[in-house]
Amino acid sequence: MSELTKDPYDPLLQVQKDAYRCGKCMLCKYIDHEEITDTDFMTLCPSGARFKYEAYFASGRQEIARGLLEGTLEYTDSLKHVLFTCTECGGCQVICSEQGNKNPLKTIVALRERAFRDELAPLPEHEALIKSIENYDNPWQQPRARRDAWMKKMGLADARKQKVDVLYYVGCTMAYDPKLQNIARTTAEILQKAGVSFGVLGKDELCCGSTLLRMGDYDAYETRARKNVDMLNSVGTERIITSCSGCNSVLREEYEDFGGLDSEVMHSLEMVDDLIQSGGIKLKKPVKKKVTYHDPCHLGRYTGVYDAPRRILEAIPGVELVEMPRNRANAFCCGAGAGVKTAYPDFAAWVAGERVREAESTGASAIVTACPFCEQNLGEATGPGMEMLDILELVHESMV
Amino acid sequence: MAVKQVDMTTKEVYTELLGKLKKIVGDEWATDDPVILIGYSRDQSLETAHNPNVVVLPESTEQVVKIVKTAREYNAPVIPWSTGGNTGGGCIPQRGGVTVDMRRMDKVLDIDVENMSVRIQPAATFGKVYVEAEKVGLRNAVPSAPASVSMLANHLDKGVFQVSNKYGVGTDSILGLVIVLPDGEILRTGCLQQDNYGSICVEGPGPDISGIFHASMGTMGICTEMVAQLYPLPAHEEIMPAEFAGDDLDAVSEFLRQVAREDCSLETILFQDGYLALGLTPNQDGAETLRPQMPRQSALVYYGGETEEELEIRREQLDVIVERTGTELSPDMMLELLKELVPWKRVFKIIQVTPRVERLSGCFELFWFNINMNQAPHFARQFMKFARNNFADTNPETSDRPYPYEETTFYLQPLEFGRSGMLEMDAYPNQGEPEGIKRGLAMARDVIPFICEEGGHFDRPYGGEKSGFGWVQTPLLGTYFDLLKAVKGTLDPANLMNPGRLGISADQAGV
Amino acid sequence: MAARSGPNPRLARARLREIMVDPARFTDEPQVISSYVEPGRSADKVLCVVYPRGQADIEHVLGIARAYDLAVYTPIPWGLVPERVGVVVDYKCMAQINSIDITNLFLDVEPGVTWEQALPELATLGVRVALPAAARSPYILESALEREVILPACRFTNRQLSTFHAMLADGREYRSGSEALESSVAHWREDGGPNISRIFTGSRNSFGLPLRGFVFLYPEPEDRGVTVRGFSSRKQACALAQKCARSEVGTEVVVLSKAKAVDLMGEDPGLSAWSVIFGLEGSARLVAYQKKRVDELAGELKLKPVAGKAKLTEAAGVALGRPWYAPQTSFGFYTNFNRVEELSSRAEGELKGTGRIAQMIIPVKRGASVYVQYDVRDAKDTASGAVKKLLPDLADAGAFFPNPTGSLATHIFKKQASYMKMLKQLKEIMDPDDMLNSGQVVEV
Repeated sequence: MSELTKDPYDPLLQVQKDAYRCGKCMLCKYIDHEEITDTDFMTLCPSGARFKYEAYFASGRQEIARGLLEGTLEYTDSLKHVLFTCTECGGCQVICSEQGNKNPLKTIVALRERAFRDELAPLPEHEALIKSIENYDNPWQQPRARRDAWMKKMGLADARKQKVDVLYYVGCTMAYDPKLQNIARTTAEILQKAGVSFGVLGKDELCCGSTLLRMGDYDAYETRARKNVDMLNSVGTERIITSCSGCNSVLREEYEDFGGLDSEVMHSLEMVDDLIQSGGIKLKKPVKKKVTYHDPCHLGRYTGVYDAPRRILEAIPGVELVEMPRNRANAFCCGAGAGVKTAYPDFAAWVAGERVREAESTGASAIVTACPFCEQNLGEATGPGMEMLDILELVHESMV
Repeated sequence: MAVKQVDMTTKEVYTELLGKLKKIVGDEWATDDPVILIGYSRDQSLETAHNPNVVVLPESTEQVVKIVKTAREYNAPVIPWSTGGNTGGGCIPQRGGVTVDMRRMDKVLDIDVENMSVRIQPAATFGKVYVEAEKVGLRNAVPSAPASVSMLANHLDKGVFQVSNKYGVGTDSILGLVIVLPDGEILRTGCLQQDNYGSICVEGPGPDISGIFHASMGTMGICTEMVAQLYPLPAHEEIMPAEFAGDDLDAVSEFLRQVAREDCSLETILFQDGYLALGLTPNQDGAETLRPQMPRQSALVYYGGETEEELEIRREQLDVIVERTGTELSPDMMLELLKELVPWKRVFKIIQVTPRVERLSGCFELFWFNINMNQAPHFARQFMKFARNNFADTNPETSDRPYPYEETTFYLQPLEFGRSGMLEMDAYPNQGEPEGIKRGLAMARDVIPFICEEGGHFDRPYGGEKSGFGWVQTPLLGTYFDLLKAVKGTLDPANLMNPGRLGISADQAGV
Repeated sequence: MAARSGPNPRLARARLREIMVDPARFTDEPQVISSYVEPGRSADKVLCVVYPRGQADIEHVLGIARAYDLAVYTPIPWGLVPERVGVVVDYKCMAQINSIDITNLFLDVEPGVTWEQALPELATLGVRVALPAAARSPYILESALEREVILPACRFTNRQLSTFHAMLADGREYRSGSEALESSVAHWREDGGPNISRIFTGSRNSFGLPLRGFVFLYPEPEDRGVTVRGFSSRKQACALAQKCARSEVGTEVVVLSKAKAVDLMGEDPGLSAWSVIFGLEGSARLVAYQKKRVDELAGELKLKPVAGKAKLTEAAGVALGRPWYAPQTSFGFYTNFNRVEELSSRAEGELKGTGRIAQMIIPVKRGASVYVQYDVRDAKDTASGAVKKLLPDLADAGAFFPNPTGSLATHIFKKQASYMKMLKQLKEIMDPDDMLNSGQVVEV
């Protein structure tokens, strides 16, 4: 082993042991072998599937960490490409943490942190996102004032001014993307119909910082996260729900690093699942569709929510659920995460195309999911004959 | 013959070579970018990492031919990489050169259901083939290796299987090969020697030249296609776990020998407590909780057949052996745990034990060799001594993971009616620390000569000069070694195909 | 090494006679010599036949051959076609059974040990060898080296040889597998690296002269049984054989035409046009189960075979207990079951009228492929010409001949230039003067 970096604050020192101990079993490239049903769909790593060189898989990224630690690798454009084409889907993490007792995702995160620290990052395409979050509290370069445009005329309670049980944290993408605002409205309508005491933050809602974290700008993320923890704790609801899987995993898991939230955090579909099970929501109208469910990485692998969406789909009369070969913890990423869609749109489109191809192989006529990033990216890859739906849209359609 | 080499620097040579390789495979699939190259510098062994100069990803035999011929023009070493799962340094380009990553050649080309064979490319993994074969009521031999490794490479490397007593080792399952020779010619052997042979399972025609490519790690050519045997999937299968206390292998090796001799099992596997606990639990904590409750040695015998009646009959045969040898069977709790492994996909749990052992310290250092079954206890005892000598005083202040010698594990596979056995002995140096690697190498220096002196025979000449079986044993093999050098010198006079392997040094290769 | 004297047949012959010492181990009788040569060929090039006693004799013979530029031939089943002046080495005096290891199941033999010699000794020790189904010579080691098909090919590998010792043309001793390591105790057939030793197999000693070999033994089973099923058609017989093989029912599974059955077991009015003989072994219960299973599997195929009666079954059992020799005019090839009818029709078309045709079909490796053998009994003059014409045609059509010699070998090997080149390169390495069975397998 060559002499390592002498910088005691090098983020890679935290993952040095993993980098050296990667035993090259190569299981990080594939879904759990016990779950393979179709060998056309057994690769797990999106960047590895597309670019194929070792460096694009977790096993290769461990070697890159080693090379940087030993000073044998320099920062180049190709290094940026290897580091930032990872969607941080967590697939390798799930497989390797079980099989190899290592945390490749931690290595990837550390690599990005170091890239930021050493000013290799942000990528030019990401700079715009970071500035937007800084200036407008959202990555979409949209004014704060328009954050509540989706809820006009809905008469929703302001959670800061009224006592409510539940805070509905909408998230930036659903708040601003015109194609997805409908899902925020649908969610609110479902909660209203179910008689849930809930409110929103409207224009005062802040970006959760997930984008900053996944891209690697940890300092900016930390600033935002601390601010958000304070603010959300001050709202003081029993529960916080969100329709965005990215927000869900950050609020639920990552904010623990800063003391965590006092409220119970869950994805909105989990609450809807509870309501269906308890009879608070009645699904009577048939929705005749053959659907397949895409597990968002940040809902599935990051927070372990697999069963709730499936229970919901099975409860909707008329819906036939067929699983893709890669599902649950083995789900193939949509391709959008961790800033990939912004920096490498062609690659993100390729990944989405692969996932849509997989959905088509099931014979389903709709992909259902629970994450706005997934809906955006997969939605752009679907063609006629394949709808892209949010799970709560189906619930809404079936509700009496 | 090298072109312009005398006047060019190494960088210039490889830059020019890279340009030509890109014309063969396309711009995207060849590179000399260090960021990419580093991914090919290590494998599971303790060998020193070393980058290639260039990596290229072909998608056909024809492209491999062109790559080999072009590399030859530049005197560039060529190192094939199927899935990179080599445990003996075979993929590491110790002298630089061109790593040929076969990942784009990962297809299961055809399964002949009636004649039980499969035609595969180098990067088709065991897992992939297993899933496809199972759909048609067949299976490949289950290796003691991860599901993610190349079935083609493992078979060529004389992979030992849990079914080896019944079906032999990897080379016994090879029906035909397509090899790109060092001069770029294509050679087809066995059932592929002619297009219309079908999938016949006998060597030839004539003198069996396919053996030259077994365990050769690409030194004699690159295999781009293989027809391999598949086997019937048993309709009924059960496990009989037998347990043995203590570190000694006396009782268990005799038990396994008798099971093999009676030919009444489908598979046999020997695990120590730690190793089996790793296979049965989802994480390290679980393994450490389970381990103290497990017997020191567990011999898992899978038995069964086409009908339930056959299953019963095989069990009867095994019961007779159990009684005769005074073997104790594991209690119900263990059987229930293991029964989860019986359905057809259980093989992946077992073969994913290999990567799970990496939980311990990131790698394991393995020595596997052939012996008579009754020699196993002697080797195991001495190995434990070596492990204690090399690792027991690991300083907890400088290492976060001192190696407890109790973690030393053994895998004993009887072969062919118990005529001989393959014994694997594993140590777990911490690859994450310089000290760990040092101790691992010291261990190899103790163990390998001991094995050779005591009559253990390595049938794969793995490893580089620091830690390899090949470097110690191969020169001891008399006329075989002379012929090996001569064959290598004839097929690859410039010693460009994965040089530094087989225990043949550069001057011995006649370069 | 002795200086090369150059060709001098008379002197060479004299030297060979001298080193053999015992007159019984040397002959230059023309009638004896010509028995080793292909009928109709001239035997002029063969100086003499020697019968060495051991390794030292072999070494001396090779030394003389090198000195006098002779070829060294060993017998070929269809007869030698000697192009070079040389000597024939016949192993019949190297007939020592070195040891019988009943624990590790190896039979350690010299090349001249025959089946008939070994079988009684093995029987007393409760072990046995896998018997040949089409032996071309009486020698166990030769059969193993040439990978001859065995009766239990359905269950056991055709490669019955573990390790062996051989002498190269230059007099060096070669040891295969784990034997190459002096300290090794186990006999493990795989070499300590690339399996160069496999070149010796199927080569008719073109790369080295065998000195000793370790052949697999098997424990005698607790029980044995035999059952015979008769069919009116080959197709039905093969269907049952394939099914049983795949189901791992049967240690020996052999399909016989009536003519072949008569040759092996004698006339029997109970013989059908086609018979499938099953040799079953294991525990008593397993044998009974497998007998029953044969009929169950026949039922699954909707076949209605005729069960062999006691006398026929007994004869079959006796036949399975002895080696089967291939007659002089016979040939065998490998294919898959789904091509048996096609290749058989082709063969029978050519063989029509050449004599009494007998056929045997043996599933190999659980029926993954199949061995097909044709014997021509009471062969007419036209028979050998017909066979000679047929074999290359069959090879072109996809019949796999595992160890061809002479013109058939050349015909097959040269289909692939690289294959031929590789064989020549290996021959050049191991026998640069092309002494060993010169021209019989690998044309240099």
